[in-house]
Amino acid sequence: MAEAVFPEVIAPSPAAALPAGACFGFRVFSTLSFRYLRDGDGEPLWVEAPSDEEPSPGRLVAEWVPRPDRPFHARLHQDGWRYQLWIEDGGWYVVDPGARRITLPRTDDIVRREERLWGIPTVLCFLQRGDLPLHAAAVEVEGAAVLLAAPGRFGKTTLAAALFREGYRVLSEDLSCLRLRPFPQVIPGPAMLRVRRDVADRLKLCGLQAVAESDNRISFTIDKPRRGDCRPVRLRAIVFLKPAHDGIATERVRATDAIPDLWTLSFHMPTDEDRRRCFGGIADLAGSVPVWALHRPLRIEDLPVTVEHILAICRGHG
Amino acid sequence: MGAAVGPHVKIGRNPKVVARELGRRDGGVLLHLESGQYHGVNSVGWMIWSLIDGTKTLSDLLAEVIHRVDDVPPQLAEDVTQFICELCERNLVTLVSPDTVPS
Repeated sequence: MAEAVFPEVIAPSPAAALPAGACFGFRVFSTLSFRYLRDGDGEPLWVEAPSDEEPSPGRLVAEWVPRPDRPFHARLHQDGWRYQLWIEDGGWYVVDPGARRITLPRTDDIVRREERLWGIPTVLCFLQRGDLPLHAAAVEVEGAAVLLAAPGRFGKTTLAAALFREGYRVLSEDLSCLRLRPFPQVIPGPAMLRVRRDVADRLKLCGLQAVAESDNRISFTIDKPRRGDCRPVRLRAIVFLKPAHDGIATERVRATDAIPDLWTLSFHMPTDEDRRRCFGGIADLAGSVPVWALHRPLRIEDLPVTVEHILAICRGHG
Repeated sequence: MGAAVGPHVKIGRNPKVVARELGRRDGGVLLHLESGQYHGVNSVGWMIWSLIDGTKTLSDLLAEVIHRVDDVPPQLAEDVTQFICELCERNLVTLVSPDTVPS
């Protein structure tokens, strides 16, 4: 009698993929399961299980080399309208922004795989949609969003976690999706917080479940009652987080002075067309939303006062 | 500095420059795509930039600015000339002499 042979992975088709949740304004369809999705609707995004075929990378368009505020190595290739993103210790993500399709790499670390999925691969898809990515956390305060903008290791996620502890909704913890029309809004991203272990221990966070730990950070999913959905949230203010030796101070930043920092925190391809798109977007953003700089020491004991300054900005008393 | 921009030279925008207005009183910003240099201009500077379209000379631009400004300050001509010269120095504008045949 012949033995039945079953393939290890059944290649999904759109018909087989089920709606799994929403993220960055996309309704995710997949045969895989996810930890960080929210409720809600959006344009379909197909997230496919790994294929056995190794991608043939196209021309190299960008490379990120490890540095203190960004300790990973990655390369982005382009082949026509498709992209192949290689991440060290992560594998290949194949992205077709036009078809809204992302194929994941094969790995045992499915938590980290999902966290990376909501980075550059999804950015490429929401860029294609006309939205603007920014290296910033976003928190909802009394019905509107505030962006906490800074490079890596400047305390964005720690401050987002502190605001979460006070009962506010985290819309994104490291990368934000902005929509500028008809008015500036934040589209909620993955319902996660990746917090330093010492911060997690000190803040004693509730409403979260730890799902992984690596690089001295704990990956938490946000409990369902505190996730909310993916509907856009009006953007009230942008706050640049700046280090200071002593004391905490806020100052209003003129739009012309805000743009260089926003440029540094934005994502754009090395083409004139994409630089035009990006510059136009951040100029429109700076011209339409109040921008502040918050200078504060990077000490956990100063977090409560820092939170108060953020809330004062949100309430118009900054 | 006015001698650098001849009286019959028409001033145009460098196609490698991206410009965006920030608001009626906030002026605008310019980015040179090749050099990566970024420049902020005030509301008057943005008004001048918006008038640059490759068809006007320095005198034409000055006449337009005077027409639009209330209470023309005595140094306006000098200020406008200075501004245009700075745009030239930063490669943000192109200069087309009347002898040049457009490609």
